Amino acid sequence: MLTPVPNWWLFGWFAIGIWLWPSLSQAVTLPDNYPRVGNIYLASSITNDEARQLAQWDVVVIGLETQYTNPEAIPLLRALNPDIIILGYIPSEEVSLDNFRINDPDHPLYKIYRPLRNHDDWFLKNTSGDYLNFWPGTRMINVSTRWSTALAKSVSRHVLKKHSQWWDGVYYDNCFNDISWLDGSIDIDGSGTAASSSTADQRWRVGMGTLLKQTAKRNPTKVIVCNSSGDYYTYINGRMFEDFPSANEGQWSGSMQRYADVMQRAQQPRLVIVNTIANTTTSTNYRLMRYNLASALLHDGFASYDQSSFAHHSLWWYDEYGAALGAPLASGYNIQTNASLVKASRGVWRRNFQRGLVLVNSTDQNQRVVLEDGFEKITGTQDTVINNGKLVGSVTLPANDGIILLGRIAQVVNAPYINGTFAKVFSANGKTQRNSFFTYNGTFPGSSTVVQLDDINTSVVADDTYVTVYTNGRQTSRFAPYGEQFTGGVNIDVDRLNGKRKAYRIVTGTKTYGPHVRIFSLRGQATNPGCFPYASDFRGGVNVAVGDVDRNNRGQEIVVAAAKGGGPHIRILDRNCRLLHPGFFAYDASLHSGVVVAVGDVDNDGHDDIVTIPGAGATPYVRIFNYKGQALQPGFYAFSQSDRSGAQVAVSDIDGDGLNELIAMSFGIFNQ
Amino acid sequence: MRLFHHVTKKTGHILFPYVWHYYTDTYSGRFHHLIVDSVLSLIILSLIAINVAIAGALFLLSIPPQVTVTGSVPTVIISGEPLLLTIQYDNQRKTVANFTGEVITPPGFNATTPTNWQQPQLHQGEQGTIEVGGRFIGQPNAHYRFIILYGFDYYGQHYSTIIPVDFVVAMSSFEVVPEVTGTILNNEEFQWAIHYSNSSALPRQRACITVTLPGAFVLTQSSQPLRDGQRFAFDDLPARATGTITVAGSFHNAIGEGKQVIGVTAMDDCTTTPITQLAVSTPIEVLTPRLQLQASGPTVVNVGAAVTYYQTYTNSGDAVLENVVVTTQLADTAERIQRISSADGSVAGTTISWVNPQLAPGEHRQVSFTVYTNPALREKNAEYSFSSRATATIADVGVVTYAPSIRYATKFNSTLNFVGVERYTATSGEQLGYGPYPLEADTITALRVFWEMRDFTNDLSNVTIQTTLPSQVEWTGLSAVTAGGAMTYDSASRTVTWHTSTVPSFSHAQGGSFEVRLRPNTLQVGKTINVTNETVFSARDSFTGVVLQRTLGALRTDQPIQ
Repeated sequence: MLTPVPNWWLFGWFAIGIWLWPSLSQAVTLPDNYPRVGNIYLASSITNDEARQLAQWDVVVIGLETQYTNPEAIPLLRALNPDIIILGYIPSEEVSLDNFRINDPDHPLYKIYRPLRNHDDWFLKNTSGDYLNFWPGTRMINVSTRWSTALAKSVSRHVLKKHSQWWDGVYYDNCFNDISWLDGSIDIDGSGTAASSSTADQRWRVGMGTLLKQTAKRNPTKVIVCNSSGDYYTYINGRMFEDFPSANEGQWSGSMQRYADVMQRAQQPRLVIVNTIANTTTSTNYRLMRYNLASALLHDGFASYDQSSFAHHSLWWYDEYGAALGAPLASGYNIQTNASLVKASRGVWRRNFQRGLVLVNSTDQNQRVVLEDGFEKITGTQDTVINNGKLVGSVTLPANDGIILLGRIAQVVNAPYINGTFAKVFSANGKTQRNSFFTYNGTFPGSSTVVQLDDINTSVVADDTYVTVYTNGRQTSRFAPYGEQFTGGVNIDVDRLNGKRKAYRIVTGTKTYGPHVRIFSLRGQATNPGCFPYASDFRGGVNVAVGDVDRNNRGQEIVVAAAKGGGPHIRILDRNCRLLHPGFFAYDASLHSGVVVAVGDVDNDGHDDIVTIPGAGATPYVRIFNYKGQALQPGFYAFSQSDRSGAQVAVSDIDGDGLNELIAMSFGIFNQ
Repeated sequence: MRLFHHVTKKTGHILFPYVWHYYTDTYSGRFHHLIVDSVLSLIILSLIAINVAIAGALFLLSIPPQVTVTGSVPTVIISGEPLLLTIQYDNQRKTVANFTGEVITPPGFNATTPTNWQQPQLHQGEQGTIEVGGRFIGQPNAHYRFIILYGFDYYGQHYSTIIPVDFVVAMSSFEVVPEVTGTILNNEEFQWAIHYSNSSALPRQRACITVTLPGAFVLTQSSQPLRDGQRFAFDDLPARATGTITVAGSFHNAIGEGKQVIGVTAMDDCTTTPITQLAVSTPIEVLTPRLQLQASGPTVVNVGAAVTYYQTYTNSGDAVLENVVVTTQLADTAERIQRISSADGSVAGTTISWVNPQLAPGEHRQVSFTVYTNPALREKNAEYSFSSRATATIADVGVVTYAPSIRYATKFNSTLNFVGVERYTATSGEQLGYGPYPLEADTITALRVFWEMRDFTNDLSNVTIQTTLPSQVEWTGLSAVTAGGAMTYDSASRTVTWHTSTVPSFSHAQGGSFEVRLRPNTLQVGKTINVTNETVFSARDSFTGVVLQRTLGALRTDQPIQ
């Protein structure tokens, strides 16, 4: 029996929903793919070109005034990298004298600093009435005054709320825990007398706390990051370590302990930037960069490496930044003592990730690390001695160095592969991207065609007769697309044929006999009677691939090619198996080896492409086309020209870096 | 002249009184003549009418009506084919009524059109044709007759006639030909054939072929059931159908060299009144076996092998045999056999023959030849065969006898090149292993071991490859195979095993690979070490049934430990 719901009850839920809505809808999410990298880019203005480059980083700290000086920059950053975290920079306790020359009332810095023009008593002075300063060209502000409240209010009103969609939070510079170190006669309360150090520091902390607390209270969905060392973790989400590993923080060991501290005590989401400065304008001190990056990777912070504390505006991007390690599997540990990072000391440290690991040698000596399972070095273009793409079973780390090593790839995901084949990984222009590997899943028979769908933890396997679907390791369906008497081999591709939000569909072709294309659900129910894209009396079968090649975002298309012994005529069918495009010849029309096709955005321009490779009997020359048949690349040989054993191609983000690779697979290695 | 004038005058007066008077006196004053003439004319007219009536009666009754009917059939009558009797009628004189007819058909004629007719009236001069069609089955060279009965009515009289139409069956459309060897040995199993054809445009029902077998012949098998020991029945034999019935059997207890006769008869309507269509008999000479021939040699060989076959012929009779000739013919030699040699025979192409002038009773001889198979043969399920036959003349009677032909087939085992190799890099340069290479003491190096099955021509089943790992070699768990299930590793026995139920030939490259880690010790510096111990490959050749085995020695590092 249903009980009537009282109106007040519904109203209460509605009110709670309204109250929660802003915070839930705008919460900052940290990236789950490591390494996390940040850039503190404090240039006076940001050009669009700089914005394009900055979009590579996960976190950027840019001046608040950017919203005024180049309003296009921030939306551009977001467009290029929807997951980017953008923090507005502003000192918490000082003002550049240049800012007083700003007279445009719409300028955010004018609005923020305007109260100072009428409150000279808000500046930090000594007992002689002198303005105190910490950084050249600036004037210190006394945060124990009402400045702290005013700044929090201004930042909230003129920046974070005014352009809430642009800013993910604020970066307050110089959130000092104390102030007595600055001058021995600070007039902290404006009384004309010097307060004791403890009193000055106490009042300073209260004021700084007020600033941060007020900011957090006014902007509960935004993150607040300081470069403080611990007294304000109650209010903020993290901090920046500048000039890591600095002597002020206790060198590497002390810095790492503080790093561990902030990662434990700061508010969620914890956002820590580990910044190392090169103290040079050249970017080629790769060892120092690696030391910074590897150290940052031992916890969940963001690595940052730039010129100097006076010039935080570098656009230095390194090969290691693009390495896709995935999520961490555990905390970092000392490989010699197995100690945890809470008590970090100099030594060799390691942290394991889904797709690799990081090693740090914080000692003053070379250290050799044995890696029994074998890992792969990054294939880089900068420090090619280190990032040479080799498989290694051990590495020797120089003193104060670190390294990222990638796990060896074992399987193609989200694209069809022939189980047990030797796979090579290429970019669209044929450049080798990763070490070759055997793509193999021992659960399934060798030579079967496998599509592993990571997002639904499902594998679709095709053999000579059947297509079998496994979900979470259990067989959920099994069917014979061409009848149980058919033993000629089944080709498959699996994709969301009817649109990105629709269910997966299995598109089948034949490896021999009639070129019959059919479409099934994952339960094995035929959703379409299928079609014969080539003459039904052709006995060589048909290869299939699925993707949005016509770029209309209205469902996907089925790209087909005649298989064994067929000509190189590629044809494009719509999702209902009707001819959409008459097609094109991928190779010379006289080639009769059949063609294997794959579909995917192999050149990473946002549009699916058609990748082809001839079948057995022909040289393994890969070509890439758009759906009109226009070649997008000159093409390349995926295997030796003498290897005519037949190959398969697939397009997939095999290393998890967000960019697709072209994978060519063959059994030819067993004939070498 | 006067007389002529008088006669003319009187005749005209008598015959044409009105005319005569018109031109002479116009009955002027002679009106009595007018009365006389009128009476006379009336009488004459009456007489004329009587005469005309008499003449008409004579015409109708004294000249009978004449309706001619003829029947005809084609000049060549084929039993089993359609037959058309054509009846032509011609009413030559008078219209008649109730023209009816009936055709009495001979036995074996199955009419498909009416065999009688009825026509209410047949006009004078009317002609026409009536066809009686059907299918006729009769015995070739036998005489048959259609009988046409027809009649009509004419002024109360009924006329009827019987017309016979005779014909002879020229041949049958159900043909049968026995194909029997001319000579056979007593107790020698042989096969002969009956070729049959229904060349008719019509199907046959209830047809059969009867065979007359000699009493000494024992039938062992036939491709069609033999009913009642003598009949191959066709309940429904389609038009234009042809076929062959094979019969196997042998003669038993046929004494001496003599002739036997096998008869074959094609028959229609077998179940009721059988009609013989064609009877053919063929003689066969049955000989007492006096010469025996046997062959021996391998039935399965490896590609490239040289194989020697031995044949022994024996005089098993009681008479001397002269001019004994053994002839061996090799088949399927294209690309499979490189050459043939024989130390005691003469080779001509793919034929080898041996001649022996005389062979005493109980005496036997052995001959041989050698086949050199083609080592480059790469053909799926390949085999070759030879057939041998021996003939001789019986000295006492001068009759040529022979030994039963023998056929001997030899299958080729699959070629198979099983390779085991350890690799640090692929031949194309990709790194497969890791760690230092050449290997260094106390340092881990990973290598990839490949098992490659190359160049196999027949499908293989129950394929198993197995090896064990030396103590300093560690299984990493990484493997890949081209078929079947995954490799397994038994850590207790340190055994690596790959098994797959089938591997098809001429598919893609087949094999498996697995990764191992090695940590040589300092005592091994300067030496090569084992990566795997001995590897054993076994698989059943699906064509020959032979279990193929290959054994590889231990795989060793190709360079000394450093």
